[in-house]
Amino acid sequence: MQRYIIVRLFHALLALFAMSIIVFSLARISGNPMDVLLPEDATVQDFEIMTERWGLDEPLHIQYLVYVGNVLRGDFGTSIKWPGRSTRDLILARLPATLELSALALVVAAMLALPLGVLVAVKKDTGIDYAGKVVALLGQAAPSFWVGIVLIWIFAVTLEWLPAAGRQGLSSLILPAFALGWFQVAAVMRLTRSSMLEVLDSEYVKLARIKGIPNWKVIWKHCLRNAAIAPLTYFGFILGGFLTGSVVIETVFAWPGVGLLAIDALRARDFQVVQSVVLFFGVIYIASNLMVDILYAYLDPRIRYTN
Amino acid sequence: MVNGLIGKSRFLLTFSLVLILALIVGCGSAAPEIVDVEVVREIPVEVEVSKEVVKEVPVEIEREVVREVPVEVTVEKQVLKEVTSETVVERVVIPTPIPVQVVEAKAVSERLEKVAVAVGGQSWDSNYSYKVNIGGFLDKWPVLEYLVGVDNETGGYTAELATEWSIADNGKDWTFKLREDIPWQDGYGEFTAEDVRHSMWLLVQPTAAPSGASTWRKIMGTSRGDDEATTMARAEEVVEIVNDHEVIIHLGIVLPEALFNLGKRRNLPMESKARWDAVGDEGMGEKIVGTGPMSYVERVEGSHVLYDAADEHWRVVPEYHQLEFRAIAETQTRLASLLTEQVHLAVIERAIRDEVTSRGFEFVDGVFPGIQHHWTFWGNFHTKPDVIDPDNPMLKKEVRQAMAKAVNREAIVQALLPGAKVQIPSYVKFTQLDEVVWPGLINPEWDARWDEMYGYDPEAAKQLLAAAGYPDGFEFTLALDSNPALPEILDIGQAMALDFEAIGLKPTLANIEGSKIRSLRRAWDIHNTLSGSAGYSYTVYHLETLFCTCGSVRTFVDPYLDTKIEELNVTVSPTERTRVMREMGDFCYDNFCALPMFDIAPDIAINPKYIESYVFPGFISGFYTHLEYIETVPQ
Repeated sequence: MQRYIIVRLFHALLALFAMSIIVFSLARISGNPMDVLLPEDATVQDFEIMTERWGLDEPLHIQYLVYVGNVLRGDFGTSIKWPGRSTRDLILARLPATLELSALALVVAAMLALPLGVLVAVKKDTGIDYAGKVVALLGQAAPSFWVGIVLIWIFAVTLEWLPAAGRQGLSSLILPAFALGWFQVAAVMRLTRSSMLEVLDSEYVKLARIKGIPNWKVIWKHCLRNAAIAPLTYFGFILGGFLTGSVVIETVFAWPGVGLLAIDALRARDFQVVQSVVLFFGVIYIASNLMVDILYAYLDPRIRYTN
Repeated sequence: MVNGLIGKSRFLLTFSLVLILALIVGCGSAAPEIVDVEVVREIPVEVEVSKEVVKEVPVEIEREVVREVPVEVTVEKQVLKEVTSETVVERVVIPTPIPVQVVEAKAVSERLEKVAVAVGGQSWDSNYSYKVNIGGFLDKWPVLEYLVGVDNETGGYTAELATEWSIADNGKDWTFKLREDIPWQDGYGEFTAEDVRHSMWLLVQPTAAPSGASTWRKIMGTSRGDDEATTMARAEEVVEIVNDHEVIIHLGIVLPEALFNLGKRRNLPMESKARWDAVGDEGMGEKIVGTGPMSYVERVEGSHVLYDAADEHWRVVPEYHQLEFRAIAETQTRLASLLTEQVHLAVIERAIRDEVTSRGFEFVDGVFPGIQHHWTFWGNFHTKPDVIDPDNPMLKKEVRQAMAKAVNREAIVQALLPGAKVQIPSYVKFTQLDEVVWPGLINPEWDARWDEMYGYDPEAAKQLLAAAGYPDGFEFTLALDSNPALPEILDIGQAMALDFEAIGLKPTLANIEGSKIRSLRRAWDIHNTLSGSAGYSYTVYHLETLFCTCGSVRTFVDPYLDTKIEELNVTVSPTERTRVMREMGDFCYDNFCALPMFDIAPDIAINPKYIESYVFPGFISGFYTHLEYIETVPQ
């Protein structure tokens, strides 16, 4: 187990290193950052002074080392769009809004996907099962920005039940959380269905039925408990997916989280913030992957690296 | 269950790339946002008298509105032919100030609780006035005031925190008399001459990044990289304090149009020196403090900025208690917010204008055009024979004219900008407003010859191509890039491509970022390419920027134009300056230095249930100024 964790940690670090190179390179290969930073009427002298001030006159490998050194010290640079603000502070300030949204989206996904998954498994090859497949198809196929806009038009404009945009209390959280969670409902539902079908077919379930245990108890207590391992570990992945998926949903609902920060920074060509957010999302995703890997190993002792 | 080591790493790397791509794609659907475009208009002097200053006399002209009536004068000045302080040759005319619109307050009970405005993603999201360009001023205008304001109906200069101004013989020294008894918010005392000096210093001190930074440095005689002490010393020399309510600003350059720079148009907001002394640079970012009719309440980054309206103000007490800007990036969401009455005004893309009006909402247009749209024929570097690509067809005048005549502007406007307030003909960097600053700037011949020179005529265009030696057309790059000031620009580019194909040209549409174009043009390395732009500014500023080898953008350079810029830079007389600029305009018009499209006014959707009228000039970057003068519907 210990060896397994060490190897996975090494992989995570390797991925982080690769990502830092990608993030660093993208800001450079897309052109001279000075063309973005300086105004249109900037003089040649302005270019020279600013290039030197930003260290862009140094060789690329030196620039990279300086960048990594700064990142390791927690210095992600200063924003352009938000003058005087460090990009780290900007991300931390927006993080609660994104976590709030992701948490509720996770609840939405779990509350809908698990019961639906169980239901369609139990009602295999019936109309309910087919309906579930349609739901899954729609969930996976419908782009989240489209789902978001449709929700706004139904629940805010037509029914006037919920606000269309902004972050003003719990009511404004419902639509974006549902839009964000909807995509994952389909995936978790299908995963739950598969696991449930496997479990429903097992010997101990048949024995429980023979013993006369009520059907609901067999399904919800004995089957789901065993079938839930796969979807629950999958939630580790989708948490990372929620954070990154928030880029679209936060933009549609004007939800001031890290995702909207990324979009705002892109529009303002604020490459310092953009690369910090990408790095942040990458770290979140790598960390959640690592946790899932470790969780798998913990839940299933067969998962180990062999010599 | 265990993934292979390599497989896992590949997955992570692939995901990182996909994530980055997703972010970039997300950027592509940019909603309209506020950008840095600048415009100016000066009101012509109608009566010439031998006085040196302009005074305003308040009179009551309406039940609710008190206007101040100016004594219209021309300041007779002798002007430099060579830029020295001794040689003087002609008279300088300075614009007459329009008295600021003073509006009596509505009863508290009649005021609307809140006016909320939905805007797209902002270029800036900061309380600093001197670290953002004018594109970041939408949320500062309610609080900050200027020496010289802008009249929302006429676009003329208003006497805001300065009551009088005059210019000295040398064309550089401006005297401003300041309004008295104007209190700073948050108890920072009264507005004085010290604040004027401080405000000008803020724009050139080391952390500053205002619009036209290089012009400010020329005005103040500083350089980028100067430290705080050096810039402070320069500010003390440049801004001479006569007394608490009078300053003389000694410009580092001759600038008879300096009111453009020293007022709201080019953005010299007044900031409190006492506040700076108390809180320093870092504290200035905490909130916005000014002398305006609204006071800052809070900013939630990425979400909104909120203000309280004053109950008393010398200029105007808004007809509502609070103002809020809400940043909503998606136009559909802004529309939904308008429909659900979460906001009362919203910036909506023109493509869905009909949907908005069909639901009972209205659009109001800026009084003046705020965006000028044109395309550049890249590669016309006629002062740099070593960098010219001789195979570039766009070097030929007939080709440029053919392309200009191939475009059906009216059809494009009708299809892509329905309902918008559009002006054709359009003369690149010569505008209706500039004609008022420099009467005679626009040659009447341009209008008269428009159809012959630029009017849509595909047959004539084909003949021109044949005459230029391209009977079968040629290939070129049509560079497309999103532009927040004109979100329709990508569609316009594609429509133009069809027009070009109709005369036998073979455009290759390519997404090329503006920053990439900038990089190429700095290296004089962009040829046989057409790229679009949408902005609005001051003729004198843009002639040098676009049409001079010494300029930073240099879309079309020629020895003749360089000579004219040199001449312009040593000419102070308005008549002479007008002549020189018009000669440049004649050259550009006759030689098709650019492909003009149209001028267009910005607009905003309003909910007529709450908003009775909103008048804004429309040519100031950020467009939506003068919100304090909104008239609301009694509830």
